[in-house]
Amino acid sequence: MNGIAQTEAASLAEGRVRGLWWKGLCGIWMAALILAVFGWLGPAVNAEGQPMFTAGGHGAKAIFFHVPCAWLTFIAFLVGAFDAARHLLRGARPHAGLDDLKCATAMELGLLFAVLATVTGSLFSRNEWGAFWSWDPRQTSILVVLLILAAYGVLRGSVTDPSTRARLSSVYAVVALVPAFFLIWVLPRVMATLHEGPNQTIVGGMIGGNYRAVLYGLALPAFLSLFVWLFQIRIRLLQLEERAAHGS
Amino acid sequence: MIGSNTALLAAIPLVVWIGVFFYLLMMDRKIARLERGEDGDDL
Repeated sequence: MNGIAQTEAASLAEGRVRGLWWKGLCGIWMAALILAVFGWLGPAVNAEGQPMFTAGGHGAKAIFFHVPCAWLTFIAFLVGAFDAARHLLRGARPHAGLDDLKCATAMELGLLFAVLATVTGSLFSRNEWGAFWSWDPRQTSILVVLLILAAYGVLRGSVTDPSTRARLSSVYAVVALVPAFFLIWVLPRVMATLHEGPNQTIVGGMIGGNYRAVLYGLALPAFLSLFVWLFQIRIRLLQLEERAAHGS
Repeated sequence: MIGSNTALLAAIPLVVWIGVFFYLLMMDRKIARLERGEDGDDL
């Protein structure tokens, strides 16, 4: 075994956590994000120093949780569709079953982050526009994406034969990527939406006060590493369950 | 300067996150033991 494999084997033997360094970074990034958002980061102000959004400019801070969750919803969908395609291409070859597990895990996490994005977006909407829900195109599109992800879980739960379940859900994940892409990236841009203002202001860089630095330097790496960690844990749990089910 | 209300506002999510973080670490460690086959507990 080479040096890296020996270290991995030693970690496994002692029941130590693999990849502790980046998991520790995830903890630090998220803690730093919370302290930044609730502590040192001031209100969102424009170039003239006028507060933007509600609560004297503090209402904009919802983006540090809402935007990463929305991004991760689509990233999870992409990962799921990629693994689904690999499963279909591999057929009966080795590791095809693992691809199916990865797809299922990614779609589950996508559903989790879609729910979080919807909830945080609704809270922002209540503060900013006076209602939790207004059937705005962006709000409606994320709700439909959430339902698409939920339907994946329903499909998997309704088929008992493992190989049929894997094949059907893989086909669904690949095909469902097309409407998901349209709903997330195309529809809100071709229709007038309340979301356009915050989009241009925050992601478009019109906001001051280090908001973009915190969003891209803390929030995005924190949530991305959390996604990878949850993905890894879930996959390993599913593999252990499969191993136990087959008595190996 | 951080007031007492702001400190409380930051403390609550921070404590929640610290709890989640250590829970994930604990689960990760348990899974590692199960993969090694040294932990006889069920999942």
